[in-house]
Amino acid sequence: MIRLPLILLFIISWQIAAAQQVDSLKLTESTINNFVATNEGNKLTIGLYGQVDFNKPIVENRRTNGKFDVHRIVMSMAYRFNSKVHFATEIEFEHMDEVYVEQAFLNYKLQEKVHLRAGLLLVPMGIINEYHEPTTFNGVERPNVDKVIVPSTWRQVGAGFTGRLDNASLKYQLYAMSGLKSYDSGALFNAKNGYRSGRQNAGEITVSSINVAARVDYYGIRGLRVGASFYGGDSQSSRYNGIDSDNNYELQSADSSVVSISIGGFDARYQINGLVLRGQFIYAANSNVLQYNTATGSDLATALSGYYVEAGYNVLRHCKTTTNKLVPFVRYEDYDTNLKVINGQSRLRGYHRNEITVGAGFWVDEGAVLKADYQILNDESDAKATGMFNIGIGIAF
Amino acid sequence: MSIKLIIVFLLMLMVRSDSDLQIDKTGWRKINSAAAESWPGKNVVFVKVILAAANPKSITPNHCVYKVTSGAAVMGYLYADNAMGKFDTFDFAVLFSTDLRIMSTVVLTYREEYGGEIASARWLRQFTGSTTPFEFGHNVQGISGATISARAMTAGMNNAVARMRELKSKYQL
Repeated sequence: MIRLPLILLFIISWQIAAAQQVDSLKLTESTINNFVATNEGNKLTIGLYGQVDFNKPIVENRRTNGKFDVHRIVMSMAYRFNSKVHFATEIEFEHMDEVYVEQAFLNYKLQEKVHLRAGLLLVPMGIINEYHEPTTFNGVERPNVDKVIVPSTWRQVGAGFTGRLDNASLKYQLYAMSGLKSYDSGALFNAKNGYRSGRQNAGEITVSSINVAARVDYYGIRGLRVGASFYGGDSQSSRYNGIDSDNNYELQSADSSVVSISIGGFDARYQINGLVLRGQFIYAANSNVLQYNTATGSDLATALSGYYVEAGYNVLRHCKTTTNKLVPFVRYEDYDTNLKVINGQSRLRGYHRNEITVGAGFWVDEGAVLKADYQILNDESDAKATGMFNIGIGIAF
Repeated sequence: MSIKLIIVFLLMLMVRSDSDLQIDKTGWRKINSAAAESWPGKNVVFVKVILAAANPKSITPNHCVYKVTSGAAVMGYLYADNAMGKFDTFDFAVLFSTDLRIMSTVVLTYREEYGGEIASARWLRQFTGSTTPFEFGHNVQGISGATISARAMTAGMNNAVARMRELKSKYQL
C-alpha cells in the first residue's frame, strides 16, 4: 500500500516537471530505439486527373472542323495495408467511350532501397509515360514523341524491383514484363505508327516471351533530373499458340511474326529561377524485320527515333501576391518512324515529322491549369506544313 | 484501492496526452548517422522534451522535440514532424545547433508513390546552415517529378525553424 502514494507522487512531480519544461524523460538511445512507429499515414487515398481539350486543324484553303474532347479522366486509388504493403491502381476513361486500367500493382517495401512490385506497371520509358498528369507538362497534348515513338500510356503486366538510394540521389526500376504484340491475325507494327497498335491493354495479354524494362533517375545536381531508360525483348505473337513444338515449319512461321525490340531513351529536366527546360531522346532498333515484313506484309522500319526540346518560363515568378504560374513555352519535336528500313524498301519522307509548338499554360493552382497552344506540323516530304490550334483544361488532385 | 488506481491511470493519461510523432528504428538510424556527421566524434544522446503540460494549445499534433546531449552538454536539438505530400504524409527530422542553425535534415519515412526524391541527401543539404525563411523556387530549388513534396518539405522546414525559435525564446529550451 505504501507504493501507490509513491507512484502518485512520482507522476505529479513528473507533471510539474513537464510544466516547467525540465527534461522529464531521460531516455537513452537504446530505449528510444524500442519505440514502434505508430504514424502509418493514410490508409486509403483517392485521386483524379484529367484533361478536356479543343483541337482545331488549320489547313490552308481548306475548311476543317474543330473537336471538343473529354480526352481522359483517370481515377487513382491506393490502399495501404500496412507500413510495408500497398496497392495502387488507375482507371482511365478515354474519349468517354474507352475504359482502361492504367496501373494496378502490389508494392512490398523490403526497405527504401528495395521495393518489390508486381501487377500492371507503367513501362519506365521517357518522361511522359510515368509523369502523364496534364498539370506536369506544357502544352494541351502530350509531346508526339511520347505517342508515336513511345506508345504512351504504355503499361504491361510484370514484376520487379524499384527503390531509392537517398545518399546517391538515385532511383532505379527494373522489371520483367509482358511485351508489345506484333502479330494477331495480321501485322500490328508498321512504319507509320511504329508500335502503337501493338499495345496490349492489359486484358488477356498474349505472352510468348518475357521483356525487360529498366530505368535510372539521377537528381543529385540541384534543379537537374536526368533519366536513362532501356526496354528490350521479343514481341509477342498469337502465332505461337497451339503450334506443335516439334513442327519446324510452324515454329519458323511463328518466329517470323516476331520482332526483337531494343529501345533506349535519355531525358533531362532542368529548372532554375523560373526557367524550365526539358528534353528527351528515344532510339528504337528492331531486328528480324525482313522476316516480319515478308511474312506479314508490313513495312516496319529497322530503326525509329525521336527527340524533343522544350523551354518555358514562369513570368509570374517575381509577382509576390500570387502563387499562380503563367508559363509561355516553346517545344520543338523531330521524330521518324522509318529512320532506317530494310534493304529494298524505300523510306517515306512523310514519316519523318517535325513540330513546333508555341503556347502558354496558366496554373491557377498546383493542380489546375488552363492551356492554349499552336502547333506547326511539318514533315520531310514536299507537303505543306499544317497547323493545329489547341486549348484545354487540365486537373490533378 | 480501485479509485486510487483510476486516479493513477488518469494522471498517466494526462502525462501521455501528447500524440507525438514516433520515430522507428530506420528513422533513428538515419538520425544517428546525421548526428555523427553534424557533431563528429561526439557520442550524442537524445533526450525527449515533454511539452504537453506546458502549453497544450501551441502543440501541433505530430511533432516532437529532443535535446541532443553529449555528457552534460547540450549540443543542439532534434525536431521531428510530418508533412503532407500529394496523397500521403511523410516524416522528417531536423538537427539544429544550440543557436538554431540547421545542421542536417533527413526524411525518415516517405510513404506515397511519387515524390520520394526529396529524401535525397544532396537535395536536403540546401537547408543546411540556413535559418532564413525558405521560399520554394527561390532559395529552395524544386525537383522535377517531386514538386508537391518539395513544396511541402519547404513549408515543413519553415515550420520547424519557427517552432524551435518559439520554444527557445518562450521556454529557454
